[in-house]
Amino acid sequence: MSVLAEISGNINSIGYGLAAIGPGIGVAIVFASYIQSSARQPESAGFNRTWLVLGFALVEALALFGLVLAFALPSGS
Amino acid sequence: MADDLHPRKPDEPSSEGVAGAVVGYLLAGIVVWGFLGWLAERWFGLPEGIGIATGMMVGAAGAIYLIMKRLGT
Amino acid sequence: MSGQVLVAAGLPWPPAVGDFFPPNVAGPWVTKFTIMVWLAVALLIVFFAVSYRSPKLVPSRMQWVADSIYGLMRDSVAREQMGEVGVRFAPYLTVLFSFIVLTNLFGIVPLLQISPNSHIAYPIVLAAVTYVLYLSIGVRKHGFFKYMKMSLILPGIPWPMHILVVPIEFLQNFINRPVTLAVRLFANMFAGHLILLVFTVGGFVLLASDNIFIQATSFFSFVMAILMAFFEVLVALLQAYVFVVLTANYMGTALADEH
Repeated sequence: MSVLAEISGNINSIGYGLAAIGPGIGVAIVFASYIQSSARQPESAGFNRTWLVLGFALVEALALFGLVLAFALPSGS
Repeated sequence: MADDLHPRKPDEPSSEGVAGAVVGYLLAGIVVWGFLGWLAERWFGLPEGIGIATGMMVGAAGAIYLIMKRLGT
Repeated sequence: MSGQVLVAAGLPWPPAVGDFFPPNVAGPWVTKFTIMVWLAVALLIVFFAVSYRSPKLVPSRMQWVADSIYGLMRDSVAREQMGEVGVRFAPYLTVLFSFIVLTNLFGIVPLLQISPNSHIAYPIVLAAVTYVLYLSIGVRKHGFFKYMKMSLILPGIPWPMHILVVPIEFLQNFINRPVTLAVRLFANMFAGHLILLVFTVGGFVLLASDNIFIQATSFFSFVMAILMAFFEVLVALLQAYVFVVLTANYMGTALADEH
């Protein structure tokens, strides 16, 4: 069986691309809800800031796992 | 306007500072403890991949703890 | 199939890192980038000197532009990030912002079409200046050991957590900050130039094929190249602003008092 077409390169980048979809949507949801709640009730903005930072950190951690593993794992195309 | 509608507390960190700090602490925690976990894996001869995975989890947990202590109220 | 089209058209496809190194102008020391940086410095000196030659209370147009840039940096960047002591640094932030905007915009000016910031050396120098600046400010205000203690050790946590947390703090404060500052600017400029190369040269590659339908899609490639050039303007301004704001923020945290 002969090879008709070949894709070469590092498969880690495909893994990172797939891993960045979820956290991208997640961070957008977190910030969107903070903006909406601050618009509905501005006095709660200071109180909600703690939860904003915590939510952003938790969601972003997953994206950064993907980034670090894309460089740290050995490449085998 | 006579009164400031959203008075900022004088010591509150600015939003760009918070965002940069969060990403920076997370990246630093994952990289440092992932690297230490990988070293431990080579030193003790653990199965492939466990050291770096636990190292990254511990590092991420430590980084989130640090973020909440520094930037939360 | 793309290889056969390449041989027919003689175009540099696919774009590679070698495309970022234009031929030298005079020996290995004067390249296109050297001339571009000299040009940016000359433009800045001429602009600010001419607009402040005889400043009036009711400003002329060029003086108004220079005043607006300086006012933006002093009020919304220096005062907000560093407090009142930050006004001392507002001139440096203004010049830094103008220089980065000018060198970023060279990426879409015709004849110059590449930004010096897409070579990692130039952002490294700018970030190194910031690094030395905020460390020396912190050490001069607090003393060396007190500054280290302030930035590495967090009060009010149980002592076993310190073993977990101090390496993270060290990496974040002393290695992550300058490195991400340089790499953020470099990566944005590099990626922007690469996108423009892909769409423009790819348009010509599609135009050189035999099939009429493939030649029709080259129109969309050129339209995308034009849209991406407009997007480059936005990215250039935004990246310069983010660089300056983070510089001011790092200096502000070095100057901050203890909790």
